[in-house]
Amino acid sequence: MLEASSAIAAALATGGHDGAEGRRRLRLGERRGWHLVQLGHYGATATGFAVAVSRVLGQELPCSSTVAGHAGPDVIMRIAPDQYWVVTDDTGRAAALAAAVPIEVGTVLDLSASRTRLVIEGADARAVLAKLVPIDLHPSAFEVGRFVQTGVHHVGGLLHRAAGDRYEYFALRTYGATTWEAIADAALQFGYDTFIDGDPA
Amino acid sequence: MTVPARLPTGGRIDRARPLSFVFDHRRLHGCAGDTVASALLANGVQLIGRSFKYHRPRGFLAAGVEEPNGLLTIGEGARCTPNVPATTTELREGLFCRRQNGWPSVDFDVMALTSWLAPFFGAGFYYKTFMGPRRGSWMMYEPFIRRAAGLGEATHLPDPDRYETRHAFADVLVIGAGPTGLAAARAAGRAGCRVTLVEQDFELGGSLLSAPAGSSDADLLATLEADVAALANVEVLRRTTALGVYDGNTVVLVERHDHARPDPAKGEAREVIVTLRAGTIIHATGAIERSMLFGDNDRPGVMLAGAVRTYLNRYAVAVGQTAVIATNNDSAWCAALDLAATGAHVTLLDERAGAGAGLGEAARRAGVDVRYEVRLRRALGGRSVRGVEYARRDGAPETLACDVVGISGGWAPTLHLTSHTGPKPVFDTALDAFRPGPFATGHYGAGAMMGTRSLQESLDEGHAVGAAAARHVGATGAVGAGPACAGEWPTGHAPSPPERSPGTGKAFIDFQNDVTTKDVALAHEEGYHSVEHLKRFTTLGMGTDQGKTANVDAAKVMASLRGIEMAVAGTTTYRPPYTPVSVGALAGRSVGTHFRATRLTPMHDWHLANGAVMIQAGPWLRPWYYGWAGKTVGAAYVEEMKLVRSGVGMSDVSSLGKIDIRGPDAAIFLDRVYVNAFAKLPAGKARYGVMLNDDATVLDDGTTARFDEHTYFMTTTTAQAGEVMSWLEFLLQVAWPELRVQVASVTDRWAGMSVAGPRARQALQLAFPGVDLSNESLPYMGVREFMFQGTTVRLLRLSFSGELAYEVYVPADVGTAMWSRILAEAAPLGIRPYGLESLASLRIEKGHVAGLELDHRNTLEDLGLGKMASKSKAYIGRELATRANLRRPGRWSLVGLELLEPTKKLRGGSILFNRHEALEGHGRGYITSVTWSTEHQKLIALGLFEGGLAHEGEEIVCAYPLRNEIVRARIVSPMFIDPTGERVHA
Repeated sequence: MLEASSAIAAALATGGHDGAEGRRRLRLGERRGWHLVQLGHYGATATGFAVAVSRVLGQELPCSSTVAGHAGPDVIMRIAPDQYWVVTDDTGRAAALAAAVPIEVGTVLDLSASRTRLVIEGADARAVLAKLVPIDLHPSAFEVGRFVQTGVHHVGGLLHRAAGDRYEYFALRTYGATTWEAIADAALQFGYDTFIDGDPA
Repeated sequence: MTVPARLPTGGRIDRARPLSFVFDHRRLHGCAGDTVASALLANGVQLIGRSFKYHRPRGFLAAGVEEPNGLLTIGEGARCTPNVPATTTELREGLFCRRQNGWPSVDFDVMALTSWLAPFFGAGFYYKTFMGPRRGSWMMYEPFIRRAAGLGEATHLPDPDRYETRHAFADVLVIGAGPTGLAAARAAGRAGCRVTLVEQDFELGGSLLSAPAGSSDADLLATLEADVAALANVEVLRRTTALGVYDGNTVVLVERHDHARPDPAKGEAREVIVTLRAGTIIHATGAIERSMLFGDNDRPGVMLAGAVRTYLNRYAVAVGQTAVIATNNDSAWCAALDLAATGAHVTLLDERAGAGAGLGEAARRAGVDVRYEVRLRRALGGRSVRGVEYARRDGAPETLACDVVGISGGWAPTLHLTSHTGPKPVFDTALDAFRPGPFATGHYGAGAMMGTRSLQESLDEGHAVGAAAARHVGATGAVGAGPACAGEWPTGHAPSPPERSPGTGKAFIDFQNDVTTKDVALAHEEGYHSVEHLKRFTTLGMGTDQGKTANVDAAKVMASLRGIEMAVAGTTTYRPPYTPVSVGALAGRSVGTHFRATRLTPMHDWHLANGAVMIQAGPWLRPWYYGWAGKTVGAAYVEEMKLVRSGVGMSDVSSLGKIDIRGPDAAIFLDRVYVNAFAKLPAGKARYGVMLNDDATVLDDGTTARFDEHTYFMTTTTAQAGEVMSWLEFLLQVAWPELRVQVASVTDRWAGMSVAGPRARQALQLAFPGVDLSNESLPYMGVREFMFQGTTVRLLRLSFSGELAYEVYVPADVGTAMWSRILAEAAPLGIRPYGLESLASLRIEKGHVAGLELDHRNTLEDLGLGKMASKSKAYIGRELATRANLRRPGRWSLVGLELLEPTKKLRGGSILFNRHEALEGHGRGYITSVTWSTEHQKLIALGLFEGGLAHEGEEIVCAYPLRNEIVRARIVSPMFIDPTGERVHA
């Protein structure tokens, strides 16, 4: 097996940083060992596509373009009127979906390794993100489960509020290191520890 | 004056927290709660600087952001900031400040002599005097004039501080935390909104801060603060100024953190620019007191009456013991009464025949000497005021000795922010001031900024707009009753006269720019009648204060001179920022390595660890060359080229744009996008393609591979990857939504590496044992996808270098592992990595066009690709390609160039001329790319030349004006090597 490597391995190796108060009030890390499948349908095939996909996922596709759906451990996000992301830990998910969705009704594309999944955890996570994304993250406006396609450092990405104080940012892999730098820099005053979540690469 | 003026009691300062600071190398002391201005006044410092043009001695005029005179240089070394208003600078321990614009000192300023030459330095003096004797003479004078003029001097050292930006959101934004703003925030907060209340001061309260301790106003402030603090949904931002209001209820704020001594090493920002998006905006910005126009009204010790009261009651500083208060309205009476209460001798000169109810009696009880229907003519004194000259209308001048003069010419609503989105202020004759123009839906104004003078009315208005704003954003909570005040402010007033009072001495309108009533008259005489022309002719209203105390008076003087109404005269356009903002704050963290995002290939860390010298290429950081090949790029790239031409090398091509195209109609889609046919491209094959813009210029080129019936893998140039992706999405969503195709960028999904050279097949055979890579199995332009050690591998037999070559693609996370494996397995063949410089040079030898030639101005024919265009199908750009200009003979077209003078250089960007013509103008083309040819042992180039290869064999001249170089070259075929393609098919 070829050894997988992280886009931010070098940055993670440098560890955390004490904040202005000498504490580390945040946890910044990377989620590893996950897979990303992008699904798409054509103008007139939405219904057949939804049926085929739902059969594999075990639930209907979400209608909202801001609230993620959940199918067991899988997270489903509608990223465009005709496109969805399935974020999963299941290695076989892409193949199962590809087998279930005929090319005549839609497409299944394995985009694993195309994104670096950065995690920002802690009570100050919202304050850090306020320095980076022009999105209202107040709990009343951005509840747990919401996601938004936005940008850090003028580069597009997807932000998902995975839990109360846990936000996950899906950065393009080639921008992963620079996005990490921007997040770590914004977190400097609060202090942070680093961590790796999921299967070590 | 050096007499300490701090009162033993009173004020809002914290005497238990003394602070020391350095002023002009003297250590002085103040208290927490002081501004630098109040601390200096408390230490008896009255002369605060020299004026901009005439170097006249100046003292503080105001106590807030409107201060025109009291500008200091704050800080030292790299942290030195010039022209900072001392009136808004919070005192902190160890603060270093100094006065400006005086030599050898502000106290004894030689340049004050210019004041004697003032008759020659009227408005427009520089423009009239320094234009001659020749055209361009201004450039000679300018450095000297600039050295003589100006106030403080900025440091040339790098700013060591950290600045940030952040985003914020609110249902209701309240700008200004005076009584009106507090009442508005209180109401909106009680209704359940998310409220943000911003206040530029370090204390809330606005005008209430100027009330005596223990007064009903002070009690009201405490109550309002407590009410607001009790609301968890109201965020209060002190030391935060609203700089500008923009479309979409977007307001830019600046937060200042100097008071907390931010440490950049700890990530603490000195200033933060906040982009706040609000559901609705309430303007509660108050009003600014106006000056009065009389002779030598700029003497230190002449200050706004409101400022006298603020220094007295908020900072416990008695700015004088013998005071003259001159006014045309009731508000200044408060200053007179409060001063008298401290034991000062106060004379009040009121231009009116009488004052508001009860004021006369209160003045009598306080011992204030009141004189009605009198007007100031002149201030007496030099470096501090010593008295005033005043007179009744048509009466003889009389003098009064004093050590401070408080003046009040009325109040001008602070409406600047309301103008930022367009509405022009409207002159209100009854108010004798400009009011805000019509508000946009969802914007509100209340209190003094709307011209309201009564405290209770301001509170009522604040409460009402707070409730209305809450309703506007859908909040339905009960707001309850509004706040009530126990005492009321005197509100009577009379219009200020539009002319200066009789008497001698300069009557300044704009103190900061040394603009007098005489300058306005001169502007009028010379035809600069409109307020906009007046501003530019005299510089009135410019500078750090932007004429906050000057604009209304200036407009009135000009309107009077023109004999028109103020409503016709109007006012200048207020633009952001409301107060000065540092460049550092605007830049935020977009400095140094954070200036822009950097894109790294999956093998980046390997490159760094293995001697690569990196280079920025657009957003990408790519290996430029490797240390194994040489210490300089000039030496290294030639060695790397030799390696590829003679053995095998590997280059990181992950930056190439990669697009997944799939669906039943993918072939049709590609057939329309590319000029050449793709519909019949068989699975397992790739094809070079070119796509055009709508206007038939070349958009991009690249190779698209077909892996199965419905799945294509397109590669684009690195530079055009984003544009091509957007173009394809646009076509599918707008032009051809009926096509059953999905596209997705997979640039980040796949790591790419080009293995090139005569031994490339052998190298990959070693890396992928068991995979048949024979010419028969995988011919030129053949592609294959297979699993290797659990990983999908895409192998495309393509060549950018002109050699036998393959592109290997694997998922990005195993890119480094695959890269390392190929290098390790093929090591016996001498494989080594090569960088971007040699990659680009190899393609020049082969004559492949790239980003430098694909500049959206060239057609297929210009680039020698005309034969690729299909004649049997439609494609984007086909119709417009028939335009006459695009078919015109003599268009600049692709050529190869070889150097004819070996001792000289060919340079990219050189302008091309025929051999015997004059080297003038734009020439007949230019060089796009240059390299040393290892095959030909000479410099070669690609370029665009008028008529292109019709001139093959001709000698031309390449001019490089930047270095004044001229060199001869010959036009040749752009394909310098292997024109029959034997190598790529090997």
